[in-house]
Amino acid sequence: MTKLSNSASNIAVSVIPHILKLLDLNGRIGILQGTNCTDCNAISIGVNRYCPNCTSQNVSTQDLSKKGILTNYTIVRRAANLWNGPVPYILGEVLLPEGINVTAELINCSPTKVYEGMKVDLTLHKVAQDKNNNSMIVFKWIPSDS
Amino acid sequence: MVKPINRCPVVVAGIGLHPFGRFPEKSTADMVKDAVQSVLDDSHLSYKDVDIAYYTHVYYQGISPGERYLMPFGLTGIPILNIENACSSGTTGIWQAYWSIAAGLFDCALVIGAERVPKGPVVITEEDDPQQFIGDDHMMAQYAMKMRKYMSQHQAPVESIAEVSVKAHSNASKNQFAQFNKKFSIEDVLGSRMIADPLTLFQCCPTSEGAAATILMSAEKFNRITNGRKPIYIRSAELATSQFINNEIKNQDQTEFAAGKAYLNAGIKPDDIDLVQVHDAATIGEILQLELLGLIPKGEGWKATKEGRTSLSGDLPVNTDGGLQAMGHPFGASGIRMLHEIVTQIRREAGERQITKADTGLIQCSGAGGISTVTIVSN
Repeated sequence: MTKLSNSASNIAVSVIPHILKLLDLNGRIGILQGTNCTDCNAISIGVNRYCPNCTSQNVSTQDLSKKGILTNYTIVRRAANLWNGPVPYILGEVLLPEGINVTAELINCSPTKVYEGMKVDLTLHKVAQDKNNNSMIVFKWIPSDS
Repeated sequence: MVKPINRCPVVVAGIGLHPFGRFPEKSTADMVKDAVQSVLDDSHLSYKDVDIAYYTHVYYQGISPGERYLMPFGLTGIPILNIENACSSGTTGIWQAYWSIAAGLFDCALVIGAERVPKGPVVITEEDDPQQFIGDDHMMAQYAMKMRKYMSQHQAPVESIAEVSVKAHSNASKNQFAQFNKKFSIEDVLGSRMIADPLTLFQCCPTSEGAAATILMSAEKFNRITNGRKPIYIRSAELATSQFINNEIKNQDQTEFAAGKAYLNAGIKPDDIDLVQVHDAATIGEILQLELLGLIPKGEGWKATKEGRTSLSGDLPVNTDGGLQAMGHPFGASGIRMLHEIVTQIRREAGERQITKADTGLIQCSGAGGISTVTIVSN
C-alpha cells in the first residue's frame, strides 16, 4: 500500500491523473498506471487510448509496481519557478519491473546517501491546494528501508 | 503513399543577425527590424522579392507576431506563418522554407526568428502547470541526468565534458555578436554555481534575447538575378520527433533518424562534413549530438573534445561562433543563427574564427518535446 507522507485535507485530486490514480478521497492511497499493448507488447507510462509504440487501439490499462530501482539521479540546486518543495532536491529516475522508467523527486534521503541501485517505494505527497480547495497530490519515491 | 519529387535546388540568398544578449532598451519588433534589414542588405534584395515568410519564436508575443513585425517592410499579401517548435523553431522555419522552394511552390522565402527568453530555469509546460510540482520539468536537470549516465557508461571525466564550455567561450571571444566575449578556464567552468549535479552554471547555455534571419531562394532565380555570386546550397533539411523507447524497445533516436535521411538526401556521408553546429544547450548536449549524428563513434565524443578535434583548428570544428553556450540562446532565433555561422564560414568571412576547410556544414538543432532537425549546407 502506498503511504501518504503528509496529511491531506478535503478532497484530493491527482496532479497527473492519467499516470497517478488516487484510490481514496483523501489522497492517501494511489497507484501508477500504464498502458499494455496486445499487438506489440509494449508497456508505457500513463493511461493511453493508443499504444505509443505501434498506435494500436488494442490496449488495456495496467496497474504498475509500487517498487523500483533507482537507476539515475541528479541533485537539483536551482529549481524551476513553480517548485515549492525544498531545494536542493533529488530528482530520481526509477526503473520499474515492467521496464518503464519513471522520474520524480526522491525524498527522505540525504544527497550524500543517494546511490544508483537503491531500492525505492512509491509514496504520495500533497503539494498544494487548487482553486477549489482540493488537495493536489503527486507521487514521489522513498528509500525502501526508510 | 509519398511520391518522390524532383527537388528544385535551394540556395541561401542572404543571412542577417541582431546581436544576442540582453537589450532592455529595444523591443522585439526593433530586433526583428534590424535582423530583416540586415538580411535584405546582405542578399541585395527588397522585401517585395519575398514570396513567403516564416516567423519563428517560442514564447508568447501576442497574436500573429510575424504579420505585425513584418508590416513595416510592406503589406504585400504574401503568406506569413508563425512557427513554434521549441528551441528548433528556427530550423523548423528553415525546413519549411526549404521544402516549399524545393517543391516548386515558391521562389523566395524569408525566415526570421526573434526571442526574449525570461531568466531562470526553463520548463516546457505552461507557466502555472501543476505538473511542475513533480520536479522533472527542468531542462537542465534532464541534461544533468544524461551527463551522469554518459560519464558512468564511458568513464568520461567531468572535465572532458566541461571542456565544451571552455571551447565555446574561446570561440565566442572572437565573435562580436555573441552574448559573452570573455574566455573561461576549466576552473572557471567547474567552479561556477552548481545547477543540477554535475552541471554547473557555465555548462548551461544562458537565457538570451536576439534575432536572426535568412532568405532562401530557388537556385534558378538566384542565378538569374545575381551578378555571378557563388551560390551556397541547402542540400537537405530533415525534421523528426521522438519514437517510443522503454527498457525493451529501442527505436531510433530522432537525431539519428533525421541525420540518416539528411545524409541520404544530400548524397553525402558523415565523413564529408567539414564543420558542425549542434545543440549545446548543456555541454553534454554537444557530445551526445555529435555521436548521434554519426560524426564521432558512440562513447568517444568526450575524447574528441579533450583532444581538440572540435576546436577551430581541429579536424571537425564544432560551434565555431560560440554555440548556444556562449553565443546565447534566444530560442526562436538560434537555429537561424546556426545557419548564419555555417554560411559565414563557407563564404570565408569568419575573420579570427575562420576555419581552414569549410565547404560542407551540418546544422543539428533540438527542441524540447523530442524534436531534432538536421540541415546540410554546402558550396
